[in-house]
Amino acid sequence: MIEFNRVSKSYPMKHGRKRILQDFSFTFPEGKNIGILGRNGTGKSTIMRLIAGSEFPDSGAITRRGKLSWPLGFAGGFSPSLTGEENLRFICRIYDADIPTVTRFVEDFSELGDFFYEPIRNYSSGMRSRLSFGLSMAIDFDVILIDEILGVGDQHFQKKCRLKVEEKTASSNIIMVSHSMETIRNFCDIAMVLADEKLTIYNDVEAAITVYSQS
Amino acid sequence: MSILNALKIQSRVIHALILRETRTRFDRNKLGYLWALFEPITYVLILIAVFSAMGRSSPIGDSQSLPLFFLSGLVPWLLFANTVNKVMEGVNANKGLLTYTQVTPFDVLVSRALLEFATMVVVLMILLFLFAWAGYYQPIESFNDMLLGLLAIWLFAVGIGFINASIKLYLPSYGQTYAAIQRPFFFVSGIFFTAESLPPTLREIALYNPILHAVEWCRSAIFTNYDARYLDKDYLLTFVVVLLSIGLAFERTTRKFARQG
Repeated sequence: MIEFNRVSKSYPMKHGRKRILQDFSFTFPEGKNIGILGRNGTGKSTIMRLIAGSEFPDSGAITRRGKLSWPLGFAGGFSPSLTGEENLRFICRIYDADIPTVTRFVEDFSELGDFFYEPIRNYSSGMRSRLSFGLSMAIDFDVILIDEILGVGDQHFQKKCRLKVEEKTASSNIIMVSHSMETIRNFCDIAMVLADEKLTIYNDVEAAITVYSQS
Repeated sequence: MSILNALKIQSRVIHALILRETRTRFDRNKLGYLWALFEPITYVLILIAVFSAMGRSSPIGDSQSLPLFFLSGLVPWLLFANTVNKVMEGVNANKGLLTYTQVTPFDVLVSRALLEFATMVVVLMILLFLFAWAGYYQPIESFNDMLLGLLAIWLFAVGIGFINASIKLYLPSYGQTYAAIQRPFFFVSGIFFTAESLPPTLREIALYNPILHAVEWCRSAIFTNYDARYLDKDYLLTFVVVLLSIGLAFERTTRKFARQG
């Protein structure tokens, strides 16, 4: 369960501050897949990082229970000098996941071949996100946070990701950020629109999409 | 979440960070982490070689004591300088990892500090072994006491490292300023002299330097016939407690800021 209690968040900019949330309270409903729609630069990724706990709000509190993933699609947690396998080991260790099981899954799913044993700095950005995606699918989370990941890789891989995420929704819930209405429509039960420093909740995804496309 | 559970996660994270650090530190070097041992060992050996070629003799012990004399000063100094340096760079070097919520800035700094201590203890043992093998063996007063001395200077360094890491978040150029302040201490921390051998007026000033006390501590632990009359452990330990407290308080107040983009 994730709960925002009077959360405010803003960023310093050269001229003044960029406000993202202002005094926002909300309890994310359990057992629902939630989509967050928003234009570029409204702060969708920051919302994800707040949910994940990678960043703190300026004021207010965020409570979370259960095992949350890192914001998926984020590859900054990889060390470029380590191989794919070594990065995997690190993440398994901090999430207390079984290294051989995860290795077997990711080796197969990410289709990196020999690159799995190469330093990440030699990876293309597509290879990086394949590794990152495979890794987050291999570890069991209660809530998976997806930041626009379904848009990367070639078509074949994208399809594979969609199928895997669908399979995952049986046992975990997802919170995803996207500007693709199609993706939100496919995966989410409810949707939120981020605009004008606030998040508005719509229990009907179509309603959210209508509002979003008119904004 | 219970405290026990939280501790379990924290020790898991620190363990993972230490393993990771040993793989990333000397990334492009074939020797890998062995380089971390090789570097200080050659440093100590070269200094000893240069000074014995210059005909310098040890102020303590006999004509065979020069290697141990330098070891007793350089090992605590290197432990101090390396720990401060590694800890203060910790947050910057691992920013990406802070996205994983269970990895805290504290864990990053502590794992780096622990690795530095372990490395220097291994370096110390290899050096002692090398000296014995080369025929410079002398019975050591107390290895345990040497470890306590190292522990004290290490905690002192951890305190400074935590403080510096916090300041660096706000003042990125602070690293160079600090390095300039620290550099002269290499010459006044007793690596090349003993407190006893200084003229009284100079000694009085030199004894304000807590690092000198750590070196004297290690020296009295190594040499059976050196009683380190001017060693004031309480003085050093007061510094340790004060700096550690400030360091931890700084870390706590800058924790949120450290996670910011």
